[in-house]
Amino acid sequence: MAAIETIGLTKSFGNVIAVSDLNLNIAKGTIFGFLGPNGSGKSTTVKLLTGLLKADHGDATICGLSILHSPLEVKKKIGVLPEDLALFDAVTIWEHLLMAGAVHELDKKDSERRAEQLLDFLDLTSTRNTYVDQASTGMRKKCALAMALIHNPEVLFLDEPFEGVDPVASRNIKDLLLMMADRGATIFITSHILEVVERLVQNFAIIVSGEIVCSQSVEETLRSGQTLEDLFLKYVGRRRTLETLEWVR
Amino acid sequence: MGQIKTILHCQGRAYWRRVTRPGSLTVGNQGILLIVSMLFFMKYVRALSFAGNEIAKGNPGSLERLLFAITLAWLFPLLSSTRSTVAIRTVRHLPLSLTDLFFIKAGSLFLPPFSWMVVAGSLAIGAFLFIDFVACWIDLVSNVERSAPTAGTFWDLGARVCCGWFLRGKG
Repeated sequence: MAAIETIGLTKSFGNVIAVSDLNLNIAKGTIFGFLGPNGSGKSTTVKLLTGLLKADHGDATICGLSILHSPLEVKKKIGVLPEDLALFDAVTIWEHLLMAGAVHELDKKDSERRAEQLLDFLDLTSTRNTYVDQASTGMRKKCALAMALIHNPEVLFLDEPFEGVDPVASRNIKDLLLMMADRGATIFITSHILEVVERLVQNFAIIVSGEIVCSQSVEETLRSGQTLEDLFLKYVGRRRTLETLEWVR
Repeated sequence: MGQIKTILHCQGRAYWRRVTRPGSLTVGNQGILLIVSMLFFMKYVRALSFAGNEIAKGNPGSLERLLFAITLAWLFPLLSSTRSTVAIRTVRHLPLSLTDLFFIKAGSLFLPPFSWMVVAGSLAIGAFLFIDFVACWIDLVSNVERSAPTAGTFWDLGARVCCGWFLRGKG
């Protein structure tokens, strides 16, 4: 059974089609990269799959549960790192983790134990009492990631998880994601950092203007003598010539 | 219920931290709004007592104006809720049902002190109307009592209504 499956998922905003007839099938225990330029529909897809937006047409199943018919059950099985991080101002990183634990119905002792471990792993222990609106972008991202992980979800949706995160933390997060996938978790990542994605994911899809233009495994790509960047540039667009900016120093 | 409580507790703490931060009362004219609200509330309490006297004279105009004012006052916490309380999009990815989200949104309306004033004002006008209603009823009964020809009919009617209720309950 696929961990994530979408069937003709479509979403429009007025006349703009953000996601058009999306069909994905992601196996359990894999890391899937979802790539595309800005405004291509990556975050909208994550929002559709995590119940933040309602699709105009089509359906998606997460661990066999329909996002349309069982949204609450789906949300109990998933962890989400949203695009806007969805954090509360004037609440500390530690309080955020305890809140996430309580919302996912973990008992207080368990929440505290997991929160301590996550803070230590993500190098947030010294800043645990920092209010998130006074924290750096990287800290905020790590806090939101820890919140997504605290209940040990079966499926993890990460929208740009490495953006603004320092190299050490980035490496730790990659190791953690690989370990989680090894243990059976399914991870759906959107990212612009192609080198990271290339080393991390098994399969990927490139979305342009709401439509999947390429979907294959990284192994297949490398075997054909190409890199992810080559493919991305091939499908996403031409490189601009610098002559038009002759006035730039 | 525990989830709603946790989120509201967290949000309440965040709200008061924002309020107690240095300089926060100067943001968005909050300080001026607080002073005006306090003055308005004091005036309101006095106006309520005046409306009581007026309604006793058979003039409900003052009370109507107060009801209108309190309805308008309710619009402030409702309209300003997006700035001061939980944005539902912040918690929508969490496993919360629509009912939970509704209670979180409704509960978070009562975080700012301005909302407490509006609630206090509404309760005051409600209590006033209740007291007024009871007073009118007592007045009516005592008037009926004083008038010998109607007293018998009144008590007779009361006894019949009570008997009817009692027998219907038995049946």
